[in-house]
Amino acid sequence: MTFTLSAFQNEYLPAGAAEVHAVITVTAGADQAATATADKAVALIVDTSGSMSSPGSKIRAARRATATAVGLIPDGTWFAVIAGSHRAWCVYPPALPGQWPQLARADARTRSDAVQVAHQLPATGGTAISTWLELARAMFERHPGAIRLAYLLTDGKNESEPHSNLEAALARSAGVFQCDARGVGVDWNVSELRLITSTLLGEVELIAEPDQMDDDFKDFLERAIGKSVADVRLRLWAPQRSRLRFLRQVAPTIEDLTARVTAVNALTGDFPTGAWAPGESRDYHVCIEVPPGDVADEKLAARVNLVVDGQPTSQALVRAIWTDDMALSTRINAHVAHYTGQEELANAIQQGLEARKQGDEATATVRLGRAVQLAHSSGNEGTVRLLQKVVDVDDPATGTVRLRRSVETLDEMALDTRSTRTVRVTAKPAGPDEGEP
Amino acid sequence: MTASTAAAGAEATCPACSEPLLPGDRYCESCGHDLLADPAVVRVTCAHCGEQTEVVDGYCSHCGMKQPSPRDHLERSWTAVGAVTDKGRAHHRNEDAMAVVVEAARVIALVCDGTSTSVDSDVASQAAADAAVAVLAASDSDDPAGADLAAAFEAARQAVTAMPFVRRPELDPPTTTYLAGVITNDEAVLSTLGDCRSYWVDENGARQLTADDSWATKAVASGEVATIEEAMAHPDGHAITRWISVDADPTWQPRTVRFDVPGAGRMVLCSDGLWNYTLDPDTLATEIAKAADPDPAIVARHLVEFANQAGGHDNITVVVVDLPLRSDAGEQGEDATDREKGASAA
Repeated sequence: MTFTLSAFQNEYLPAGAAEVHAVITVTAGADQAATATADKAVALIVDTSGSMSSPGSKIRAARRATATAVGLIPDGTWFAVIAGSHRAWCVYPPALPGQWPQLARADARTRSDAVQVAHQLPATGGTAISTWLELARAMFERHPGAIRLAYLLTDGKNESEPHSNLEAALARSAGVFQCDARGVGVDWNVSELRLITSTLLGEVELIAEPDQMDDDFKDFLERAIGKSVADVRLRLWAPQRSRLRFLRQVAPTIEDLTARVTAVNALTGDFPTGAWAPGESRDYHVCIEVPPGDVADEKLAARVNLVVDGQPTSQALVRAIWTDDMALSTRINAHVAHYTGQEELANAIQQGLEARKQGDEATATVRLGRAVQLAHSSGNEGTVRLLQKVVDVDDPATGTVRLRRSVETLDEMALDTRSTRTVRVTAKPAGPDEGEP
Repeated sequence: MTASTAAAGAEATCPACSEPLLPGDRYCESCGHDLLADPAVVRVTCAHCGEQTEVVDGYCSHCGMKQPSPRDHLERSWTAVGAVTDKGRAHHRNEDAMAVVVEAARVIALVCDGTSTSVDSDVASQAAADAAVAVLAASDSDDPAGADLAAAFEAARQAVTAMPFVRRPELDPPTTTYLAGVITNDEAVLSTLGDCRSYWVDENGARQLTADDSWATKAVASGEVATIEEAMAHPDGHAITRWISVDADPTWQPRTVRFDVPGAGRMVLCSDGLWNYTLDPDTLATEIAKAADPDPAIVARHLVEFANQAGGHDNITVVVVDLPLRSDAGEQGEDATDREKGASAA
């Protein structure tokens, strides 16, 4: 699989300016056949605490969805089903006496056995998510070259253990496997699951009704099967005396990678991006502060390489050129402007919801109004619809809104969960890209 | 690997044979390896931070600064012709290009100025100059009127419009101006689109031979502004009204000027990096007189230095042709590096 990198920026800066912004688009080629696909390992981690039985439709839906998903696992895929409560139990495959459980290799027999076990998932006990992650990690660690993906479903908060346990488990799991998280109903904590997915390069979603589980499990499995490269990193070189302000994934969702750096040498660091599927495309917003240059100076502000399974491949260059030509330095790059807006949108939603929770209606109105304005102007219709359940919109163009008196908790959580989902830069007007007459 | 690299004190070894290279080398003295064409990584002393470092993609691997490029400053010299192009002081690269062919009885010169608000304008200007000079040099006739100026322009237009580039919404596609001159002892034919200029300079002073396709020229002609100085001070003062690019009107043709050479004198072809500072043609004549040198290359270099001292706000290209052409007109002068050494020794 080949990757292409493109940098979008206005490299022209006025004299004395030090901050360089660029959007890097990374696109995986669709040529899956050209590369031997890595082994795949999948863990389904299902909350089996007591709350899953109130109402019982939750655990019944989870049993059904797990069984359906297991039945779809392709031959040769490594897999496990983990039941999570205040402790973790690998329900499939069962551990041999006196041994840690190990992932099973999917075939007709293991799938059929796992489906039987899925229909018997329990619903008792508390919630200690660190134990679930630790068990998954131990099993995944035996498959270092594989694409390792987990799907974690819960309906509650991590209340049977101190928060530090979760943080410690996440720190140990980062780089071993990726994890998507799903919250069912309204009794889970958005920021808790977001912490898991941020650290483990996954995505968090809300499942409003138990009967939506089936489709969501299937979607996860399809995405997991689609991945074909296990370990892709962004390698960023920046010159001496420069400082990386931030490196964020900005599409399809906003994820700050700045602190996730592994130093390669004094000027170079690697940032994890996880596994990729053919044809997948993501955008990254990088901001570097460099020593200000004089007019006519040109500096390389960053070289971004893609490192695929340890091998550096395609690159993109981020430049800084200092000029006294205002016609050049005042030009706005559409990609950078767009994602700067999407990042502000996510912040505005999260700050607005937090202010609302604190009873600060003035701040909530201003921030959520700004969110409506940004979502509207960037064509982020999904987010506009979710905002409309929390505020009444008088004028989306100016962001004039009124807080709704009664808001469903579910709607508020849906908005919070989806706040980091971005839209990409609107396509240019129709027409040939090059060589027009 | 030019005179400006030498000034920066860069040291390097040949990537093919590892023999040390001298500043200013274009080819390896030991094995003849083409250094300008070699993209290989060469460990050099960075011209900016002084570190022994690798230069990758033209940038220092330590401080990130762009390393001097051959295009930053080029000099070419013949007995009858001196040609200098320089990036000036305010631009990060030289987007001007020149191409010169000197024969016993005629001189062909191209000056093209890539516009700074376009993508890869340095590539566009060089492509235009190289394509046009090839057509003009292929003409058998020593009579300038016999040269196919229309075909030369079309070749330049094709070269620029066919070049691959990545379109960027905030910049124009590759764009350049165009000035071609075919010059003999009796007659010069000049062909121009955009705002590169040609002057005739003799004991009577200097006069501009070609008009610009520019907002300023139009504004003065229509009476919108009173003087060219006033026009140049206007925000649109430097805007050109015709150019070569994929977005240009394909029917735009260069204006052609035939000039009967009145006797002994100098033809000067230049980009606006020079004439921005010689709005009064007398200034040009005065500066040429100040150079006080029979060598056209010294005159060309002096004019570039003059423009740089005046601000060097744009790339500067100057081609000086001494007329009448002497029988040894086409003999090569010393190369730029030797001249540098001679100049610093003097």
